[in-house]
Amino acid sequence: MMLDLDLFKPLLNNISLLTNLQLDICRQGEIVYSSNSASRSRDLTERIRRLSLPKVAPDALEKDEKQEHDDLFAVPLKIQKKPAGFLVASSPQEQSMTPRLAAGSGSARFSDLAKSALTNLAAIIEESWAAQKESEEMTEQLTQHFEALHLYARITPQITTLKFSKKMFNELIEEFLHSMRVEMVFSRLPQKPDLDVLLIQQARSSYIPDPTAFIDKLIKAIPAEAASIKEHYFIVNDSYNEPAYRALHKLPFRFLAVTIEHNEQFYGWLGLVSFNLAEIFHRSDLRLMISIAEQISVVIRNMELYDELNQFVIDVVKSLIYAIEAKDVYTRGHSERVSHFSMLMAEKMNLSREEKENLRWASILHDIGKIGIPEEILNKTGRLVKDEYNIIRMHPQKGFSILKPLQPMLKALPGILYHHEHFDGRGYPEQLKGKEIPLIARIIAVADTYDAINSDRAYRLGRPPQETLEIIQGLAGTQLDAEIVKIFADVLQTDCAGTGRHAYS
Amino acid sequence: MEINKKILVIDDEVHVRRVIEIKLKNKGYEVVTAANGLEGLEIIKAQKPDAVITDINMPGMDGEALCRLTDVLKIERPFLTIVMTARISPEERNWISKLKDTQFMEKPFSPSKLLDAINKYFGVE
Repeated sequence: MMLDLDLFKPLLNNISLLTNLQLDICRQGEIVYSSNSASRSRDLTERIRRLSLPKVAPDALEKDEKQEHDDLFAVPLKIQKKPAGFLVASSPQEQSMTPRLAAGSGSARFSDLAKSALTNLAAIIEESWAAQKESEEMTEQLTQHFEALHLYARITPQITTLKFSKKMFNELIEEFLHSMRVEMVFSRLPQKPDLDVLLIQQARSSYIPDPTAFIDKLIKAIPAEAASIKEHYFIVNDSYNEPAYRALHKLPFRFLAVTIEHNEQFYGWLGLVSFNLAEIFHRSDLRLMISIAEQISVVIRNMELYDELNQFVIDVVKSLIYAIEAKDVYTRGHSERVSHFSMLMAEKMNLSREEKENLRWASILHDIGKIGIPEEILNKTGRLVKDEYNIIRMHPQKGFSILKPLQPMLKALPGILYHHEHFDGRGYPEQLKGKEIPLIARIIAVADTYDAINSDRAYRLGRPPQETLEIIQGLAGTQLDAEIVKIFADVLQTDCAGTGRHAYS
Repeated sequence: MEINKKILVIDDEVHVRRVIEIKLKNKGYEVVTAANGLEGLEIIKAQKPDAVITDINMPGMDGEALCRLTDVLKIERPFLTIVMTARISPEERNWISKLKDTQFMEKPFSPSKLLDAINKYFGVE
């Protein structure tokens, strides 16, 4: 800490002139102020300097007491009761002293008045230093509050988002590393490994060659019965004092971990490690960690709720599929097989995440419109008459109308509406042609046609896989998109279960 | 250790000035402060700081006016300006991007990040 003396320099100079005493202030072995350094012997300078050094030699002066010698009078300066230096008066030139102030009678060279003045001055300097120190400490605290506020401001907007991306989480942890002034920050979430983050200050990375294993050990060593665990944290301020932690690293370190949990639901740990033992973890660090961990847990909980909601939609959709399958015995498992093949093709075609998601919904639900078709027609064993066939042909539009109100399905709808369009423009319902037909609909058309031919129907038996594939290849360019048929042929070869329906029944 | 660079901190909130001042002084920078754009402008002209950290919303002359006025001075004597603002708007981003040697930092700011930005500009470790 820098202690400011500027304020006192004029006063010290004046007193020095008035008393004809040389005045010095020493701190931590350094002379930080001298009224007139030229007039002092080297030996005396050295003695003054050493006054404020930690006691080493047996003859060293007592640090916190007034010192009076033949040629030297020293008043200790303390800050918050701790030794912080000395105000030293010395009189190397006896003959020039003004008798009135400096020279005392007998052996004492310093008059009582001079000593009293110096003592009072020392008290004023102490006061001022104490105020400075307090102000700096408060500023330091304020600085920490600013850092905390900054972190809060960064994390709070995330709470409103439902998806906490790895990237955002990483950035957050990086800020943390920064503002906590530690060497390592980690998050360890056993149920959400995609949010496991570990950051080490570059300069310190050699300290921990295998950080993942180190963190494993740190967490494992947390004693479950520690009282602080109830308060959701665990602190080791010096690993050498904790047998369980001492063995983990040859260097002493400090470690702080807080639990990430929400309503008794434990998600994991957020932790800090530092090898700088000159600092310790303060209450304010702990408070900040705990509230950041709370915020993270809220974000994670939100993500879970979002996933649960998503799962609910999936369950609803499954129920819808069971509803059609209950009506049409021959399509049992059909939707799932079509979806399976469609997704294999999507993988091969490197579709985007979003396209795959849309395709997944569209393929599993492509026949949902059959709910609106009478069972007698669906399960008829004889040939369909024209009117009946027209009714069957309405299932894409019916499916579209059924699912339209479901917001998450919106982008899947074209796949359902157009899965019976033909590449040559002779399909239904809108006679779209070629690439006018949405990609996901063209993919579903191939998978759907394959599975329909491969499966038993009310009016015929299914064909074996190889023969079915040949039929499909015969439809390439007319009914089906030739490029996709080619991809399908590849996919069918590599699909380990590619021998057709039997694997899925 | 002392770093021979003078930094001007302009903010109407005294505790913000104080925190930045101490953070920079502890690193060894020389720091001067001002409570608004007008005071800041006078110090920039008279004391020629090597970097200016300024808030945007201030009574009297605001940070934007100050930045636009001082941009001309940078032709002869370049210096860094860091503009601090809560929730930067596209318009703000736009005018800031057009000024020489001008960066922005979002409020609430991180004192250590601010120090890093200054150190980086001056090549201080």
